[in-house]
Amino acid sequence: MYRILLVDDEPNILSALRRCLASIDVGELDGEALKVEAFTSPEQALERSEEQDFDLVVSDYRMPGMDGVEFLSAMMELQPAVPRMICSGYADRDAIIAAVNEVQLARFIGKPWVDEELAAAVVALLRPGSARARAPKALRAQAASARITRVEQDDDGAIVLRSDDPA
Amino acid sequence: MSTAIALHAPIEAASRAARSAPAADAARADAMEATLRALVDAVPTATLLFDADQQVRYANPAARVLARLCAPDKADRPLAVVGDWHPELLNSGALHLCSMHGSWSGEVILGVGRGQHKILLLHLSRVGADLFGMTVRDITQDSMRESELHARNAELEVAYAKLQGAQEQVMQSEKLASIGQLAAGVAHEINNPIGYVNSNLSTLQRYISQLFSAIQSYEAALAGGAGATEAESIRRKLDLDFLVGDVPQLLSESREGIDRVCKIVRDLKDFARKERSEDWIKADIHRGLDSTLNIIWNELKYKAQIVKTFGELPPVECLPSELNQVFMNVLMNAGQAIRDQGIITVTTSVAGERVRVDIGDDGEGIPPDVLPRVFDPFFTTKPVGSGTGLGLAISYGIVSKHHGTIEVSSTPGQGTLLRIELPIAQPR
Repeated sequence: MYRILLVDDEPNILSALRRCLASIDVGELDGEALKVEAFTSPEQALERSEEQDFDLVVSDYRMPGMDGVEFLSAMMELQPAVPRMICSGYADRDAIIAAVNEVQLARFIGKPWVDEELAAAVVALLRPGSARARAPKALRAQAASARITRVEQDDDGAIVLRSDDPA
Repeated sequence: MSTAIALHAPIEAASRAARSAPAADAARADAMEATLRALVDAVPTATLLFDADQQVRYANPAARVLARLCAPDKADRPLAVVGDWHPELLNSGALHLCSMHGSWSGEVILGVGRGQHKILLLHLSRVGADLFGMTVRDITQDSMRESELHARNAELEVAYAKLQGAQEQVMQSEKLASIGQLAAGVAHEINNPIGYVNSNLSTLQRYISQLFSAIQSYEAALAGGAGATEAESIRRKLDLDFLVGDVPQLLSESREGIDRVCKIVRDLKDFARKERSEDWIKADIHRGLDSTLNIIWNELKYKAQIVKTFGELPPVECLPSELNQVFMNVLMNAGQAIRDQGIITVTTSVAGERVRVDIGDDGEGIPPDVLPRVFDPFFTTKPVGSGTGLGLAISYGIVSKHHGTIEVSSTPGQGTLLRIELPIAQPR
């Protein structure tokens, strides 16, 4: 079983993310089921993470009280190995770059997201081998380069994700 | 007076009167004549007396001076007829009109040699059967001054128009700048609902194809004469129970998302509306505060609680979107004064003939040395690029335009209070 932790202050986002993740065929996860836990409060998510290990964390960036980077760096201390994703509509480039650098982000997915893209990213992070089988060529390219890479190339090309990306 | 040429007519008139009068009267007339003559000689305006043939009977000293002005190169020429002053000084039309109407006034422009011109103001009057009086005043300087004044005035008008245009531009760009500052928050706020609505639509598409395949399976089962067990197994296989339960929720969440986007767009439109400066209307101040709070809420909700205490306010005669800009500037400042978490209070009340809007925060406060300068244009304590320094200056201008006042009080470390007072009705 794969455990995914979702954090977003908007409950409707959590519902939509759950539906999207439910569309992933267990066949792509080698028959493993997906167990999703969702929190609107990063603090509660951290509390839960003290007792439960996760295989993937997906967080919003802008949240009251604690932002996504703060949450993910706290998460890093609790569970250093868990791949970290941000899914956010916040388009500030500096914030994204900071997120990439500070919490060694595996993926940044912008809102609004494309379901197939998000599902492919999740599969790729959970089961690196099976993503290629699932995603059509175009999505594979997109998932492989992710948005982050494009942002950094725009800047000065200095930041690279490769070493931290389980894929 | 040696410079005077002649003074015949009044003498004749006076002596005519004197003939029928006793000698004492004649003596008085002579004395009067001498007095009048001295008076006219002393007048600084060129004064001439001439007959219908323009033969000059009298010219005062100032007329001599005028003659030199009219032809500086021939200062000592004889001055017997009016034309001797200048051939174009008096045209026959003017004289004709004067004979008909008793008087005539007008300006003439004379070339006086060396490319110079003189502008003269003439006044003609008929003073006897065949006698005319003429005064001539040199108004070259006056008229130069006047035309210079006109030119200056025109320049000033152009400059004023430019300034007005510039002010409007500055106000508009300040408004856009503050909207720009909000853009990230607004984008986030729109991207969230769009994000889940979009995702939900993909899910719905999947659900529908599942439903279609369920229908097909049922049809096949029915055609094959299958019973309840088979229908049940299809139902379980496609998880129809879950799907049936989730669809209404998915739709209502999506509806909520679309409503939210609509609301944000409506608030933005309300806020950014560019109105003409003559669009004074009686408006609900609370509505302006609410729509501004809605927009700025995207920015503030991560760090501030807002406590609204709205009193009963009458409609206020104002330019609503300009006031919204004031509210936004003040609210943004309040938000920026709060470092981590704080409270912003928005309180309204009526104070006599005015309404009062108090916007307070429990943020960092303003140091006393900075406080007197907060309304100065281009004064800012924010890092370069994050503020124009015009927000409060423009707010001050807008409130003044409403004949209102805006005051700030602050205690460093405890917070800041901005008090805006606006007259309910504008003075007529």
